[in-house]
Amino acid sequence: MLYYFSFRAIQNNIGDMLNGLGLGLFMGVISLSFGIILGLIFAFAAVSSNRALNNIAILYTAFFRNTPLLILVFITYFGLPEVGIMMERTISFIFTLSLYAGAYMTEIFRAGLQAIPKGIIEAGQAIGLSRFHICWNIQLPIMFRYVLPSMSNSLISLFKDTSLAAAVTVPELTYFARKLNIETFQMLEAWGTAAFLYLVTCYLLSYLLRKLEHKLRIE
Amino acid sequence: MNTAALAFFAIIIGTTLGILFGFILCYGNKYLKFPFRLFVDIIRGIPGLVTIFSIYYILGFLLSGLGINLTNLQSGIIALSALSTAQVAEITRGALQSIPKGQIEAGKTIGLSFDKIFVFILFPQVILQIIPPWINTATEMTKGSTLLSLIGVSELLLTAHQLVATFGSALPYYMSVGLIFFLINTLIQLFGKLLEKKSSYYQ
Repeated sequence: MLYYFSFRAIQNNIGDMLNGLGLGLFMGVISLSFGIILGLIFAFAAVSSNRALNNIAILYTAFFRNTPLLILVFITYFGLPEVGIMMERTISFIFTLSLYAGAYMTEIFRAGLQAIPKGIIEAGQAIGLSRFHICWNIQLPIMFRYVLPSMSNSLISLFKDTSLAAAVTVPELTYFARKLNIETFQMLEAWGTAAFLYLVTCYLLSYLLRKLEHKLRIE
Repeated sequence: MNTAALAFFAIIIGTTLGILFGFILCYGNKYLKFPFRLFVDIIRGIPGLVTIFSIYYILGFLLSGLGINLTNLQSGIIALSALSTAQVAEITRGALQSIPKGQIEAGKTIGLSFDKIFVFILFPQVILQIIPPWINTATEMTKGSTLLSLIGVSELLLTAHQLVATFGSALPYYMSVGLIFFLINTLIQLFGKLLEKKSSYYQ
């Protein structure tokens, strides 16, 4: 069993891999932004007094959380063109991941919204704030500080899910690692570098998010 | 059918090993903790797909040097077990650390030895706390079994893929597979809620 560890392989391909990581971060940021927006919308739908909205939100959350992301990606990329909706690979992946992230965010935001003491909302109503102002000035800031820990967790694990883009050949870090592996059989270099890059990125992300938590903490 | 067996074995192995690791992570001394901490942090820090590919290629290569040839299915089970072990270890560690130290001290004052303390005091409380996140892990493992189709394990998604290649119409196959997984996972979630209800009866 002979294995020649060569730094050459890493040297030649590190540019591609870093590009892939950049694309992963890019896709992650866009999907997560859309996911947060969707999450907010559906979370308010889930806690509203309208039964229809409640059910829609519950259905959305349950479907997108229980179905594997890979299947969702395949449905969007391979299946939708048959009904006429054609999207380029990266865009279809961002679309899918946004919907997927939205479901997770809905759960988190819903829990956050339900944890706000009713008294505070009633106080706002007593002063005469409109629905919109109560939502924007009271509920959102409180909910945001409350959910930040679990949201950070979800954000990091959703960033790791961008690696699934490699399954539809989006030029992502995992895709390049696999390409390097298949072409040169330098497995340790390929997967070691990929793992290292992911670990460093996730560590940095969690560090930044923890600093944000610390700054926003109510003293 | 492979999907079910895969996820099932991975969950069982992962849960048993995971609880063990979590226990070590919480109560072990510095040197004992280190390799387990490394294992859990690395596996939780890299995407599941990367773990699966790494174990398939690297472990497969190492073992083939020793003469053991791993089939796709076996590497898949090893990879999923590693993933679930890391998850369950973190869950267990969190649950164990959240039990007030006073409980352990109370047990010691009555004169129980450590293993008796664990069985009578810690374990029942830990089990209750672990159930919701564990159901989550079970769901994630079922979803993770679809990732194994990318290394050629013949499971549900791969079969659907092959059917699509044969018949050329993608949407119905993928959607039905999606629905199947949705149903399985919803059943798991409902089972979890049932467990929670039954266990909270004793609170």
